[in-house]
This record gives sequence, C-alpha cells and structure tokens, in this order.
Amino acid sequence: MLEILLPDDRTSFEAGEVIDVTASWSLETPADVVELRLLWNTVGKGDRNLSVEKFWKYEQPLNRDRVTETIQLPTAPYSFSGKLVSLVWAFELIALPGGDSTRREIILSPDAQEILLTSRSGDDE
Amino acid sequence: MASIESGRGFCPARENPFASEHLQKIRYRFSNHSLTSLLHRFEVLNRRAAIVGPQGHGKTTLQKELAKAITSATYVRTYWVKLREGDRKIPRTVLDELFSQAGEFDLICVDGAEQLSWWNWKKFLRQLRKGQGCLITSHRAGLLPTLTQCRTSLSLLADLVTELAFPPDAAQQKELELIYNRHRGDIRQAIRELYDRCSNGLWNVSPTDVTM
Repeated sequence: MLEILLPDDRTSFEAGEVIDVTASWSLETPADVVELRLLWNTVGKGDRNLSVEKFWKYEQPLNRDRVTETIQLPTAPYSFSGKLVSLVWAFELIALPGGDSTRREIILSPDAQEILLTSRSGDDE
Repeated sequence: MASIESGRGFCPARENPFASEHLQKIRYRFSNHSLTSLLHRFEVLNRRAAIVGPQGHGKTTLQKELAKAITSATYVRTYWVKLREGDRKIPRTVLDELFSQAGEFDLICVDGAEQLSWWNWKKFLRQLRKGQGCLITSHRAGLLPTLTQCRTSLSLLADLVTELAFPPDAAQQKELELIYNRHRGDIRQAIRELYDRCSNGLWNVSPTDVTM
C-alpha cells in the first residue's frame, strides 16, 4: 500500500507555497526504488502532455517506511480547466520495478482555486 | 461526476469521461475470435498477417493487444512503425534503425500500412528477415494475409459508454444510434462527439441526472 499525505488533508494550494508532504508505503514485495513525483499533466480531448517538475528517490527502501519532505510548490503553471483541456497537478508515489503506485491530485494557483476558462456567454476556449 | 448542473455552465475537461486518456485504457473486446485463436492463426500464417478494417474500428487496439501477448509469451521484442495519413514511405533513417536493431525472430508492427505506396510496401517486405514476424493494420485487405477483420456495432459503442460513464438511458440509446450511424461505425469519432456533447452539457453522465 502506498499513501501520500498532504497537510491537513488539503488538496488546494497557493503557487509557491511551502508544504510538508509525507510519503508512506508498505510493500508486499521489495522494491529497488520508491519515487515521489510532483508533476502536471493535461487531460482532455487531445493528446496528453506531462511534465515531472520535481522528484525524490528513495533507493533500496525498507518494505515499510514513511518519509516527509518539505516542498516549495512551483509558481506555475496554474491549475485550470476548460471544455477542451484541463491542466492537473498531482503527487505520485511509485514503487519500482513493480509499478505499484498512488496519485493525489492537487490544485495550484495564486488563490488556491482552479481557474475556469469560461466566457460570459458560456463559451470558452 | 460531470454535470451541467454544477453551476459552472460546462463540464471541465478533467471530469469528461470521454477524455482521450480514458479511451487509451480501454481493452479490445474480442467477439468473433478469442485472443488465443488469433495468436494461433498468426502462427499458422507464418507470423505475417494483417488486421483489416475501416478507421476507428479497433485495429490498433487489437494490434497492441496481440503484440503484448506475443512478447509476454516469448522472448521476441516488438518494434513499432506508426504511419499517419499521407505517409507514403517510411523514412530511410527509421528503416535503417529498425532493421539494424530488430533480431531474427522479433516482431515488427506497422500501424496504418495502407498509407505506404505499393513500391515502398514491397521494399519494406523485402527487407524483413526470414524469421521476423510482421503484424500490420490496414484499411484494405491484400497487403498480407488477413488475420481478422475488425468490425464495430452499436452495442459495442453502448458498452464503451457504459464503461467510461454510465449505462445510457433510452433517450441516450437513440442518440447513440444516430451518432454511430453518422460516423459510419467509427467508434473513435463517435466518442469524440460524445466528448463534445458532454463538455457542452448535452450528455449527462451522472446517474442522479438521468431522467428515467
């Protein structure tokens, strides 16, 4: 089991905010490495874009462990959603080579709110 | 779940169940033939065969499924050549790299082989080594012996909608029929239309929004 714990269980953060993120795992089979990633990806009608912005590697991990990282969140890009595309930030925790993983999506923007791309008429993009 | 009643006036892309990332996770649904029977037939055809069918009928999904099964059951590696509309030839550098890396019994998959000109297709075939397998997708039969013909159906579209979102109600079933016929069985295009309908609030995917 892999788990990502966010401060006060919040999922919305201001861009550039400093937070403590805890990665916790209990593995049935030993892993070579456990990796915590902070990334964004797009989701929508077209192809998916993905960028891993930061990562932390724990080599030869214990089968059961818990690590807390103090992380300064990036200042951009902001989380946004329109009809055609959304930009989604997430933490992912993955054990390799097995590939067991977990993901927690977060919102990142100046006021910790997802930016919605809508026009007054209700059309967007 | 996506709902126009959310107050946002539209369905955000990340909540759209018909987004491309969800489609990529869909597995091929075997109907006429099982995976085992297709793998057997591929061997019978001396490991050179074509998956034939119109656009959006599941050829590439089946090709990936078969390639995965072949490589997981044997020691062969798979090499991919993906051709887009208008690609009349495979660039020389790609061919050189492909044939310098592919081993004697490896599998070479060509997606969209009908795009190649007759001359370039023959040239490609000539470069294949004796033991190398070749699994292609093509809109037309005749490039290699046909392994299977991919077909879609309205019930398949309804199954996919159920998997991606929720079972369509009676009114949505009628809409699905129109969409399916409009795109002549091209499931990919049908689902793209459903994406648009969902994003504009014209296709409810939340069970609580469904009017019975």
